[in-house]
Amino acid sequence: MQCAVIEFARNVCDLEDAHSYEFYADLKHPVIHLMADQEGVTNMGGTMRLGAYRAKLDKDSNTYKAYTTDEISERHRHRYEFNNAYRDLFANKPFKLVGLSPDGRLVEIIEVTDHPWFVGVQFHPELKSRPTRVHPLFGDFIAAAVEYNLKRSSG
Amino acid sequence: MSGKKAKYIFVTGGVVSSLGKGIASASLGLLLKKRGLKVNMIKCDPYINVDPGTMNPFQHGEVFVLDDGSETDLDLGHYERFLDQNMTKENNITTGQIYHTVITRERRGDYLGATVQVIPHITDEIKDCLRKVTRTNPDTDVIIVEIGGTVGDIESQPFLEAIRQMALEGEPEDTMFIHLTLVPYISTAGEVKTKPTQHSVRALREIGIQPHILVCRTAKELTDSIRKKIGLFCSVPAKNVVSAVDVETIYEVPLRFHCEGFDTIVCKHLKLQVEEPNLSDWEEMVAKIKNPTHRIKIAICGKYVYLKDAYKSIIEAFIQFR
Repeated sequence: MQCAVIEFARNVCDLEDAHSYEFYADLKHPVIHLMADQEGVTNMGGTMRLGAYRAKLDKDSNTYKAYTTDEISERHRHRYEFNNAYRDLFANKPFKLVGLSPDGRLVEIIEVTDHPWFVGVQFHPELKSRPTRVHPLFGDFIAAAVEYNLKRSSG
Repeated sequence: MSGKKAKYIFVTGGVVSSLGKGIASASLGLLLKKRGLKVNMIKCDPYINVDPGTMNPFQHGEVFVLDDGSETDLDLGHYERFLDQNMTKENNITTGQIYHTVITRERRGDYLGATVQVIPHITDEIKDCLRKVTRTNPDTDVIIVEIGGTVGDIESQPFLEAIRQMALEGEPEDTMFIHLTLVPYISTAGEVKTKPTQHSVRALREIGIQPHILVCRTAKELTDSIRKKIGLFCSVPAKNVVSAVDVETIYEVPLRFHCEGFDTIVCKHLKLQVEEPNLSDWEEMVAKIKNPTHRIKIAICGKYVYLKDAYKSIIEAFIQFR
């Protein structure tokens, strides 16, 4: 999700030097920045935002269609997050924040709305996928890819 | 609540790493679960790191994060996927955690002036961690304990010593040892070689562990004469020498193991009165994986894409059936 946000900021929102604070501290547009509770963390072991956290979904999204529920729980492992100072800038673009933490403060899922199926997530859906119970996002991504592939080869 | 007594299956590996001990352990776990047993899994990682969270994915592969936030070895991913069961921090033990606990206890003065040693203090702590899982889940029937690394590594010695002691502390049918080894095919000689297996089992026996089953990774099914030879030199009945041949998809491994009678030998040794496993859903899944109806190309971008194991769960998430 973080790289998608950076690319979108640079190429669609015309913020040429948009980047993540993880890579450069001196940035004009840190669209991805350090989470507030990570300030002053010096120990690297076991100090990220780790484990299962809940998120609320926007019902008008491909993500909701995949999950078919508006409250999900997924496993996380990150120190950096979407910079909320840039929410307004993305608001007028084909870009939607479709998943937020229950308190609305953390961006968990983004979608690019003028694309057939473009979903970026802050968590690791692969960690909860089982061969006998495929993860909804992986299942729907493959279904969308197959559909696109069939349409392209027939058209 | 006293709970029933859980049986322990210890899985060790020899000759080389990356033989697929995790997949072999998870496959056995699945077969036992499909027989109606309550199965749990523990991975022992002999490295000094407290967890793999700070380790480079190029060296160690993916860090598998659990619901409870613990950062664990990627084998726990195999356990969760094969058993369709959530793991917790108790399912992954490292040397780092063991020493951390023992040293903290020593500083607190818990050892009352004793000299703190690998035997018994470190080995006792390992045994306590292996038994803790049965206290948290008192209805567990079988616990499969996979010891990381290969026999002969300096770091894994305390773990091997601890499991050797555990076998002595119960009845013979309470524990069993399974050793995973490599039987390579030497093309210039035109035959498979059993010597690496013999050496690896000898190393295990030197520290007091006699394996009950040998699982041999091999390109082709072992012939009866090779099984007999391995059995003779390793002091294992020939029928307990199981072939683990290379397969198209890892999800086929449990099915092959069952055909080899692997889970039947295990149940007999542990004196578990259980039915045959129902594997029809698993068979259906493997058939679908092997016969896809469409082909699409998927690109994965990432910092560590050169190492397959670094995004293990992402790759596995694409192997699915509906």
